[in-house]
Amino acid sequence: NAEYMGGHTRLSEGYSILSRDVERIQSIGKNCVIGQAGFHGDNQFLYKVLQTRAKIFEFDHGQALDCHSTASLLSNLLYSRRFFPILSYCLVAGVEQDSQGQWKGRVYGYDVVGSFESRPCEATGEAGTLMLPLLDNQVEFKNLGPNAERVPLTRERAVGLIQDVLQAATERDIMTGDFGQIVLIDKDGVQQRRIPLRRD
Amino acid sequence: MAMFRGQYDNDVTTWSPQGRLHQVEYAMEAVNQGSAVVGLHSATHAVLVALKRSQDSLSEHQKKIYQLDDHVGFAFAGLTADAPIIYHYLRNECLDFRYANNESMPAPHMVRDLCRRAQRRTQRYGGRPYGVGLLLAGADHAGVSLYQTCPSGIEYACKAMAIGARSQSARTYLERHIGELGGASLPDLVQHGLRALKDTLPAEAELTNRNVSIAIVGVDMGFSVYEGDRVDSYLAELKAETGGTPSTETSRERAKTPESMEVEAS
Repeated sequence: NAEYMGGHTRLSEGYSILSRDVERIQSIGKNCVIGQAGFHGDNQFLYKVLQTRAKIFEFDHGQALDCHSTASLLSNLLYSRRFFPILSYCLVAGVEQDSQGQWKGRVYGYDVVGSFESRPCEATGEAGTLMLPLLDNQVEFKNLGPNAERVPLTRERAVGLIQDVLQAATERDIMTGDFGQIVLIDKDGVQQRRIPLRRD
Repeated sequence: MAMFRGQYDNDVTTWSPQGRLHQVEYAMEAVNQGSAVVGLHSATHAVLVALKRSQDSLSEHQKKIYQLDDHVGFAFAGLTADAPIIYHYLRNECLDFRYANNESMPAPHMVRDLCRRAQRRTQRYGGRPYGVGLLLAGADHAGVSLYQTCPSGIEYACKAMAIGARSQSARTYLERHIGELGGASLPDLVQHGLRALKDTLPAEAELTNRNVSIAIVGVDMGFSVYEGDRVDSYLAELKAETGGTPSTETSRERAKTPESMEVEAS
């Protein structure tokens, strides 16, 4: 009934750092966020377009976009540029009510042309491949032996895990570091936290 | 009301020998056929109050107030079908402006844009002017503003205004109370608007939560529309003022103006 997303705030070009303070995770509507890796210019453009479309939806329908509708909309936006892609590796995360009124958390991962899928857990970006195996193991309990401890995912555990994977990625990937932006989404809205990461 | 002007009123691009464009004037007459809307503002808030019409007891009352963006919206009087066209155009202008400039589109800018468009339609063969007048209320860094637009393409910045059927009574009320508006509190401002609107009612009619729409915008308050149950408290306050004599001018005017054809305009 809650979702968590973590990102880092370093913007780099080759071996140079352009900024240590770029927020990659932004809100769409009340219960949904989008995190973007890839080309920063396209990320900004895509976010603005998505925001505008979300506003149009609100005016036309008198209510805000649901998480799954945002996810669908993003997929269509990306595919509409199939032959000149928006180089944005997106993750959409949020909570929404199912048909019984229960709040469920969802994460959607994308490729640059809009293919998307809802998964329990997803990571993207340069260091995505460094983080994903650890998340597979600790969130989805993949590849654990029969006697290994399967720690249930509480809020504290989830936030701790995100901090750990960000730190781990920072250690090994030169493009990751500076600050970690951690976002918690539940039915009451979106909260943000920042943690320091290695600056080298 | 007979307004036969002879041979010079067939299309909008024909002048009359008196130097008038009759089609534009006829378009302005269409605004008078719509039900009344009242707009007024203080230093901090702008209020729009509208009287909604319904065709018959089976139909919902027709929408009169449109929100354009977080900070601006309008109420219209006149040809109902023209209002959503203008709404979609202005809404897109607001979205584009916000996308390009990262801030809300100021109301004066929007009104000027719309009026330029409206004027073009008075100078083109084969088309017709818009059949609606708007009262547009908005808030931006410069404060709140209220504008009236006309099918002729003229824009008027207003402290308070009323347009539509029997709106003269509302304008008279507003003129009488203009001094109180600038410093009025928000509840008082809404009450002034409702009292002005009440003066435009035909005989035997009253303001109910089905036929009244209220919209409020302020420097610290986004544009919000109140309808149905949400206007109850405002109407209750209006009713609570049992004092207050209806002006004799109003009763005379009510007796004079026949109930106009309500099919097309609202």
